[in-house]
Amino acid sequence: MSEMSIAKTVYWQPLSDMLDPARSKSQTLAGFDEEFVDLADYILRITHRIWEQKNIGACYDYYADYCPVHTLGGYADSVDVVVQNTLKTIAAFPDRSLIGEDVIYREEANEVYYSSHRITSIMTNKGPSEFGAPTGKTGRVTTIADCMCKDNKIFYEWLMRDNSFLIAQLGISLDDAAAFQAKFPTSSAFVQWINEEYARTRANNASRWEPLPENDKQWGEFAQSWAEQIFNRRMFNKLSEFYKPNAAVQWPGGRQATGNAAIGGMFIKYLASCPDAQMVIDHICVTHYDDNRVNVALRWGLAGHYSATDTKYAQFNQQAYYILGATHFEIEDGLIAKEFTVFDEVAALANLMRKLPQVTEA
Amino acid sequence: MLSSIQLLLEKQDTKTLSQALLHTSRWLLGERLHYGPIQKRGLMANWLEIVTHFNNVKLCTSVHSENMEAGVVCLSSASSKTYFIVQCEHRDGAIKQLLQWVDSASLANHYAASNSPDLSCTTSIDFWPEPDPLQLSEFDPQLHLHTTHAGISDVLTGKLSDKNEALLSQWWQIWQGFDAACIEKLYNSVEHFSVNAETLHQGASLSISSWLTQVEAKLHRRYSQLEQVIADENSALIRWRIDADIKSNNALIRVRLPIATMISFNHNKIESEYWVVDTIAFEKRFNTPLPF
Repeated sequence: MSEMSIAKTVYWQPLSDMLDPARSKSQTLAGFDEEFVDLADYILRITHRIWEQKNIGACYDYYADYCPVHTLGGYADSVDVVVQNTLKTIAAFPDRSLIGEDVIYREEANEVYYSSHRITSIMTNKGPSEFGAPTGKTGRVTTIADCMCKDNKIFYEWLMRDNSFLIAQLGISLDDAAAFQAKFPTSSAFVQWINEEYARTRANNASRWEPLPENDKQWGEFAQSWAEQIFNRRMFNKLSEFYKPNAAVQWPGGRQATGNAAIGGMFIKYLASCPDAQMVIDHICVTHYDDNRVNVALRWGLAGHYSATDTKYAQFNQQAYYILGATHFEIEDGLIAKEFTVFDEVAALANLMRKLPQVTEA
Repeated sequence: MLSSIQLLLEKQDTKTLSQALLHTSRWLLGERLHYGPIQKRGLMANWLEIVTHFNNVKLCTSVHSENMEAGVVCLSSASSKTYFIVQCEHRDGAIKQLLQWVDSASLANHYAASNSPDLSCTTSIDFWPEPDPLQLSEFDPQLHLHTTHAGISDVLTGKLSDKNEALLSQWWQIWQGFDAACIEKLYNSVEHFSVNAETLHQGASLSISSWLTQVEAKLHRRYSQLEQVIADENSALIRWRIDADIKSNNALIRVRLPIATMISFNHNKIESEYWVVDTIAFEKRFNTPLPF
């Protein structure tokens, strides 16, 4: 790789370059504004305009009028609701920064671009939020936003945020945050979505799985094998086939493991809370960082039956349990060096309290 | 890029460091990752405040390798010393990661004593960061033959001769593998060995053996994990951690102890070795004192 890759450029670029990229246009981006040189540039700059420059109305420029947005805690499908939710979040966290850590993307059929954007936010809780009354405390949170884009607009989005890590810094317990969220009614569209996602994941059906470009197929197989061997077959002695001996893994709520022994322990403990879990990878994209490194983004679902590892949650045992998750790998020399996995444990507990998904077992 | 830290501490030069830090840079202090201009300015202000309590800032030893640099810095006054270890990931004048491990207990003691001479022992500093939330999972700490455990060659950044790589592997064999007999061979010409502000060695290997025994005895079911080694032909920064059970209020609690160790070596012998552990971060995170 003679020229510096877009991924490496993004990793090292100063803010001034992010706002006015020095690199030349490398993607056609048919239908997009001419100013954008590649999809990473599009995602980073529109995020900065909407969130950090507080041009919330720019959502009307960069979101389609009808844009389904899925989170584990709710569903919206109109740009008006996107604008309203953005406004409410900024009111609750007025200094929220959205620092783009990585954008992993691919071009798909029909001039659709798919991006998986990993963001670190620093945010101070100064107003009522989705977790309750303001605490005045500052926290950090990782978000992964998967977006489908066409003609300069996002027209489909999945949003995963590590809310259990955030509330731990805000001084809010998981129980309180989940109970607060569970009090709000859910839309019928959300209930239908989570029920269908649960059933589809249990049946091991991926939602969309377009073929990867030829030189990325090995990473698709790698990711499928990771899900199958580690999560579905629980073959923890296979970890060294996927992870470097000093791989660093970040999972929600402050789970942090380095090395195969600790990574295995972390996965075993998590899976014990859903011992019949089935994981399905619903999307993968790959960007090339260096000759020996690729960055891989996965969006996945996990479905099974809840089994409390903490007795205070035993009341939810045997309830249907669904997780919408996303993972970014940094793969060096064929093995994972870093992993960032994000899902919303607050919403997952709130859904258990709401008895969602609603499943009629055969 | 260690120079930008030295300029901050010695010349109060906030501009050079600010310009080197990217929008996306992360800065570890007190086992908390900081991002964004507000947090970075707060950390610089804290450092400027800290150095007013010391007479000297000295870079004791450093290592340079590819786009990584690291060093041990000693802050000293007539009455005390505080060491910290700093690591930078940098490229073309930009710093992407700035990681610091500080002997915060010594710093707190010195800080308190210089503010109020009657106070000689404390383990708190008002502005020390709250560590990031951490959930530990139990795992099997045994070195099973069929499990992959990181060795020096797995985590090494930089070029190192076979002899020096073997030396670091022997070092790891002592501290991970509890190979006490190896201490005499590796440390028989060591000039400095400190764990935070406590200097263990003044010419004999006995106290290093005692330290190893203490680590083994007080950290039950311990598992040591290498995170990264940055090395050149004279020195190495070894970042590692111990997950273990410790006794606290008659119960065993699971803890994680991040350790930064800076070694300088010559002719297959260790010349100096600095261990830095952030005591305040540990105590805030686990609500229990360090066991040694």
